[in-house]
Amino acid sequence: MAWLGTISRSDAVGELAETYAMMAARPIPDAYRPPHDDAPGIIRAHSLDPELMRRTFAISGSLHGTALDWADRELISSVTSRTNECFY
Amino acid sequence: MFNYLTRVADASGVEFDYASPLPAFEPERDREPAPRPDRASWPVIADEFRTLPGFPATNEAWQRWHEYVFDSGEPLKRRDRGLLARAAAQETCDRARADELAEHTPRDDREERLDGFARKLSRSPWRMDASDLRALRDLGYPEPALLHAISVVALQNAESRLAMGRALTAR
Repeated sequence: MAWLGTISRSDAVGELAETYAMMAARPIPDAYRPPHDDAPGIIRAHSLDPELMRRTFAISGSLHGTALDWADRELISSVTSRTNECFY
Repeated sequence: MFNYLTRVADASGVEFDYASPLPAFEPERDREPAPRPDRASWPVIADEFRTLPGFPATNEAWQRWHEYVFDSGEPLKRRDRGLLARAAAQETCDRARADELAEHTPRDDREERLDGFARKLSRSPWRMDASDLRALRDLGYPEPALLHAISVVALQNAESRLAMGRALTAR
């Protein structure tokens, strides 16, 4: 369970429910879909502010359209995580 | 972007929940953070490296993100955002940004604790635990304010590193 309060997709209403639905409708690689029915933890971490969630993940959406292919982006993300000693 | 996401993950305590055939990465939580150079040798990064003019869509989205995280008045006051961003900028040796936020030096115990939170999340994010958020909660910050505190620190880390990377590759 996260240390920060979060709201799951099943408990979301109003603006948050709409934002979760918008996030789920984005074209993303299957590897980014968790095996449970809820939103990925890193997205759920922003659930207390749907506006922040939209503005944050608008960046990752726009980066998916750049010249680097998915494998290269994943490599860069992995190295960044590892350099930061991050489990994520 | 991942310098933002890793810090949000480390500070919020969310679990890794993507399916992967690869072995899970185990952070070395005892690792000592890299020493920072003396302030005199911190680079001064020009403003032109703080935007992404070659990627108009990303640049516009980033600016909207930046304004919301650093300039909103709620659920975290702007002074608190400046305090957190200043500490994060100092920990990433971003002299120009730290100087821009110079007036946000801690003035009391509450502000010192915010400063300490930002420095730990910037310098040794792998050591964050539940007590770090609890300490801010004990100061009276509601849960949405904690999310914004994390976001300010995480975004300042990402922006300072992005600017340094762009300045270095432009040499």
